[in-house]
Amino acid sequence: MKRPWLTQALIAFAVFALIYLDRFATNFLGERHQLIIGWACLGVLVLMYLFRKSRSMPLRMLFILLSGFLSFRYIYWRSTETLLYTGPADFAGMSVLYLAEVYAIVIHFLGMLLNAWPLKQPPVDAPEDPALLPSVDVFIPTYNEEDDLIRVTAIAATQIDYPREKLNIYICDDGGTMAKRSHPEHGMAAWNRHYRLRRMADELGIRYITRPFNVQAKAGNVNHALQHSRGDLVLVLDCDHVPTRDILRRTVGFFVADPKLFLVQTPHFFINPTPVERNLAGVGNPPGENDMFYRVIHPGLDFWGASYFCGSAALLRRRHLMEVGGLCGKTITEDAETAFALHSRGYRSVYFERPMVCGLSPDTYDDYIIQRTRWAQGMLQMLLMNNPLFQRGLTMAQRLCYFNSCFFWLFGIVRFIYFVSPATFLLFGLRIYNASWPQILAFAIPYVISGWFVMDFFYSRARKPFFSEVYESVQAMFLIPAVISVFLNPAKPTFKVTPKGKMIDSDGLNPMAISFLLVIVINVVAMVMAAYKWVDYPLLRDVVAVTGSWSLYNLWLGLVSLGAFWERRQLRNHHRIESDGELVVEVPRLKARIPGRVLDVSLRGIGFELPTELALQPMERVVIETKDHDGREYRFEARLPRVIRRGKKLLCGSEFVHQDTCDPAAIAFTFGDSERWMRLWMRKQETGGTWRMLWHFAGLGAHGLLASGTMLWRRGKQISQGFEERYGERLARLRRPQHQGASRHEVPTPAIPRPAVTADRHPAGAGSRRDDLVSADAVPAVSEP
Amino acid sequence: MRDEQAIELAVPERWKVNSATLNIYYTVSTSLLSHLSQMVIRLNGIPIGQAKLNPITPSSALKIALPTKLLEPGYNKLTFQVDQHRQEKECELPCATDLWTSIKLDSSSLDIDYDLKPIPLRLSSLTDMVFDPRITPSSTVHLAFDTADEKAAGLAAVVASGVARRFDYRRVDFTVSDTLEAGRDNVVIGTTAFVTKLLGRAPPQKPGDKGGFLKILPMAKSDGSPDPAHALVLVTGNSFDEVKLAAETLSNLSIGYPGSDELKATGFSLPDITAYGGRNILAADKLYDFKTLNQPTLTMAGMNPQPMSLNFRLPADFMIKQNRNVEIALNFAYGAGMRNDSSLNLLVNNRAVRAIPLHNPDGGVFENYKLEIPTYVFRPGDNTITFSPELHISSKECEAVQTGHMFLTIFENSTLKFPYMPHFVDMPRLELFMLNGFPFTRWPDGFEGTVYVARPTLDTLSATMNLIGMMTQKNGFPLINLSLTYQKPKAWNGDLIVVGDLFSLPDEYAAAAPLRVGKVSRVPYPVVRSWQQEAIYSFSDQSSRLGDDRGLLMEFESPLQAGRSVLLLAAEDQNDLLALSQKLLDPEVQSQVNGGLVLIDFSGAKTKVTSLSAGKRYTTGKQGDVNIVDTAADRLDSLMYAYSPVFYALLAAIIGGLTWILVALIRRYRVQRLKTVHGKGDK
Repeated sequence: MKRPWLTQALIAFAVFALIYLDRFATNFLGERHQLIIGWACLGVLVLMYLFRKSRSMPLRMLFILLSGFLSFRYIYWRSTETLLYTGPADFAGMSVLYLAEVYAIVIHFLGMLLNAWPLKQPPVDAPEDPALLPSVDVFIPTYNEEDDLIRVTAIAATQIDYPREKLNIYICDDGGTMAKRSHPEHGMAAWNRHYRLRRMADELGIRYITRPFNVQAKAGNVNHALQHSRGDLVLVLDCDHVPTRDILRRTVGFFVADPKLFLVQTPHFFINPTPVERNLAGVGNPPGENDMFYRVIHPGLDFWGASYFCGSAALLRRRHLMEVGGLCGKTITEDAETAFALHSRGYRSVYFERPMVCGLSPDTYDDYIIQRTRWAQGMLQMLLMNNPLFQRGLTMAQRLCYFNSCFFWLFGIVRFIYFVSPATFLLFGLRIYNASWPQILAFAIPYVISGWFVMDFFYSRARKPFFSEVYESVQAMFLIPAVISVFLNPAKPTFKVTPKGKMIDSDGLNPMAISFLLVIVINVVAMVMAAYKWVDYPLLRDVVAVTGSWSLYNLWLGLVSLGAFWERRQLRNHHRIESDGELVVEVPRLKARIPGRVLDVSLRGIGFELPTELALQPMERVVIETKDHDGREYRFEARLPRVIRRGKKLLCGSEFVHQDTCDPAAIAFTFGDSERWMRLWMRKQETGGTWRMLWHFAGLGAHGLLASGTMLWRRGKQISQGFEERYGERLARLRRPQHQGASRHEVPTPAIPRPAVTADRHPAGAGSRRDDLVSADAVPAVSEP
Repeated sequence: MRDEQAIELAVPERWKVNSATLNIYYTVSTSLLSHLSQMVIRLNGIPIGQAKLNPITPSSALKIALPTKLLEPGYNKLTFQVDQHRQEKECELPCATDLWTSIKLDSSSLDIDYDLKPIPLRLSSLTDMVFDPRITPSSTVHLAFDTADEKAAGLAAVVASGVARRFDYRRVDFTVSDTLEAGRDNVVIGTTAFVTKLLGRAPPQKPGDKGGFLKILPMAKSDGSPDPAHALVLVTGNSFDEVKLAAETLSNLSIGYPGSDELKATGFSLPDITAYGGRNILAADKLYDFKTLNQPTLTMAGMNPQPMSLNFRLPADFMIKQNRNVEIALNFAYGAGMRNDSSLNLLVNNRAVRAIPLHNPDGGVFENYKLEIPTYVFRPGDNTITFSPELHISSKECEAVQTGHMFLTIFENSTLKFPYMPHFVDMPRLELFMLNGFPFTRWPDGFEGTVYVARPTLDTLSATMNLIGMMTQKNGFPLINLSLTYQKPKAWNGDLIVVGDLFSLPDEYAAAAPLRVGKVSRVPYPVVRSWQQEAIYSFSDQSSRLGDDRGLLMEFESPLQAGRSVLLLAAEDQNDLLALSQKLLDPEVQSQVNGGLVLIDFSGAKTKVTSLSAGKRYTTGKQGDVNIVDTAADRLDSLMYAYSPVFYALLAAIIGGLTWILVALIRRYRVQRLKTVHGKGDK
């Protein structure tokens, strides 16, 4: 390997040889050989998948190459053998599906590059001598969040283990800017907020910064703060991202070791469940939706030196940042754009895989989609405006990594194409996939199955099988218009703050799920057509089998996605966080000290288990003594509103007496210990029961479908009743048999108001419905005796 | 109920028919009513005989003298028409299965007594009278040239090719010598000096004339008297090049021009020749209308209409691929008032593959009716697409049946298109040689091929001319660039035909032959035959003989050039060799030839053909613009195609090798990456 040109030549030769062999096999080997190649490669892949050691080098590389070969073989065959012109409509459909598959293959290959060898950075200790430590500014940008949310984060920031003289904390308030305060309607609220936050800053001994105008959203806010601060490093924290004490101790060392480092990014860790996770309460505990990004993808990016800024929980070097004028604001994903600009200048980044902030993910699907729409639009803006593939200063791997991060967001369109593709054949007879059954068996099925195994091979730590499909499906329909709008006008998207901490007061199907009802209906009809075609067109059975199976899969996926849209009631403001550790509960009434085990923690109390026969009373006053993983001791006075006996143990839920959610001790105990997040994070990857969770979703989907069907039926009935009431008389006149002799001007029947049953049932609509009755004037002239 | 069948009766231009007698033997169904059933024989539409179909004597004979006035030169239509009934008063089912009459083809005969007409002394007579495909059953042509001179033999081969082509598919036997042969048509090929020596007089060519010279003369009988019924054709010139020009000109005479008895050829050029051209061969990815394929607009009418067929050929080495379709766009119309179960059936090589419903009682006209037929129902070589209408009437039993409305017309602007298919075929496959002379006709003019005549005796040369004639007839293009040599070819990198005895194969080729001949021969014997007809062979080393009245045909890969073929036509002696070449002209023998080694035994009344797939497999063909026999990659393709384990081994090796390289690289990169961040390495 001392001669790079030789290595490159060897790689080029080997890649060319693989392509050549595949070309030969596709062109000249018969079906039997194709079956052997496809299924033998798949067999080896599956064996390697089952063999744990294949996760590490060199077997990992063999696995990647084998799966790459299967994918390349498939797309080569698709490109050379199946693209036939059979008519304009067929051609259009075929092209769209083909492009979707090309997208999937490109993402698949980029995913393989990314997952070649994800890097888990070993820690770099910060210098022991405080004088050698760089100064750090902590920015907490805020816009419209509640004071308590900001206060908790600010308090936690003050508890960061770092020399106080080298640590400056800023609340960067965009909700109290001069422009906001000057608003004729909302100015007063902004003034109030301004004063409250200033007071909070004074109380906590930190600084408050605001600016005249709200330009460039968060990027502008941070850039303004940069101009009013001087620290060597900048720690950016979203105001719901509560830092742990060790966040600087574990990250500053990287900057000391590498002067060209501009960024240390750490994972975003969320304590509240996403809507999908909440739906699975009691069924399973899958890794969070963003776990895949922070556990697998980001270490993969880091390996290639392409770890980028994610907006928060990251430490940046001011000097480098100022070279590009602070955070970039051309796109609405200013974080990635800034990292992109600095990478292009040859600066480096590091991803340190240890959760050291604790935040809130969106609580509702609406917020979730707002967040994802912003990401999709921002990354596509970057693709269109900066085109990473041709960016000077980046290494080839960095270009591909950035391209992957941007290009990925087209998945919504592709997922939609996959949803409707089989139906185009089954319903409209479009020939969009020209392949015989033996070819599908030899090329397509090994490729599809290998995709599932490869996904799980790479992402099993962070994503359960098929959950990617569910997450993608859930977002797909809503991202399509957003993505298209970026293509039409890349400069158009604007920054929208992701709402956090919302509560849901009742169970129900999110109205956004309506698009999945459509998908389900299309695929149900397609399945019916498949059955019909199976019987009536025996010659097409191979195609019908493929498209029918595909439709069935789509139907199941649609149902599961619909189930995922079922939103559960969620009232708890302070989330209880699973935890472990020991404690001692002192019961003054009994003069007893009982050792126990911590089960969960929150800002308001601790859940614990006591192995005792003693009887504790409801609302018993206790004193809880405990330690965090760093060995710091805490003492809380508390009440026990919940005491449940389980055999020889007591399960207790405590409530701190101080009742102040911003108690520094409670914050330090709850949020200050990164080891707690680490353990919780690790525990999630060990959860199983994938199929149970998916079936649970499908059940929820069926429930949602039924509920929606009932709702639609009722709505339809209402409409028909309204129609009857409005036009009933005219209809009745039209229906009246002529031989009865009475013309419509004869025998005026007295008007009998119809009981407004519907109006009573729906008070909101009662007024208008009564109006309708008045305007209808009378019930039908021919009434039953 | 009425039905009829017809045969074409060929009458050559040079025949003067004195009498013709038809003897037919037939059998009729015993269900027929004799007073209502009869057979009528028509010649060119005119009734010339009839007979009652009598069930009491179901096997009968009929002898009819054909009026010679009705027999025109060309193809005459002899029609056998039957009217068959089994019920007298009640109505009949038109498709009753017991209404039949069968003519015994093996017993029936046509005796023709004819004299040969004098041949008009016009060169155009060569195309429409002398080398006439209507001559039945075969023809013999004598080639007179200096047999000791391989150059002259090469020109004779060009002439033989041209003559055979004029005979189309009709069998033609060649004899050769350096003298004239009375009682048959003779072609003299040679320089003026040779012709002067042969004829005893100078050819009627002016001494100063430049260019090739062609002249037709009456042949002489053995006693020296003129034989106007046979032609003597002179192909001559002052130099070899001029003779060659004359030979090439003769081999391309195809219309009734010139009307003079001689011509002086001063130039000759062929059209641009593309590989894989040839008689009726379809090019891939090209749209043909039916008219181009010799199928004008045709109406098929009545209750049992004759089907319409498209006949064409595909290159012998087409690789039929999955998932490719032949596209047919039909323009057709059909009549009104037919039953709704009428249909137009489509058959490819007599296998039904598609049907178009003709279910509209109002009839219909369709344009661009698309049909797609999978390519795998076709085969290399001759193919036929048959459009067979099934027209049904909706009248009830006993109703007067009118059939005028029952018709289907297929218009000549309907089109046919074959998709792109690569040329790639595993060899040896002598059946492809029998199909169109492949691989020696990859270029239709025989370019890149040579014939090595070992021990050029008269019989060996005659056998060679027969072989070349046969290849030309299969291919439909004169083989004017197929070279011929008497010398052992050295380092020949093209395709090679060897004609001679068993020991005539040059040493460098002999080792590659499936049956090695020498003092100790190595003979393959099939031991077991698997489902896919892949035989497993044992090999016996033995000292033995092939024996009399037997011959061998072998094909194998040239050891000097991958992808090139060597074909050996051999027998123990020259008489057997000639007999072997004549047997190969028999279609029945041709149809049994396949594989790489064929043993033909003609000692009995019936020729026995044993075909074996012995020998090393190899591939040849053409992919895109790159000829497979030219590049190293193609050699590799060929190797992997013949030995699939090579492919799997290469695949495993390359994936393994690439893994090794990438792992080494990525490890190095990782160390570097960690060093930059931490200032230390990490394995």
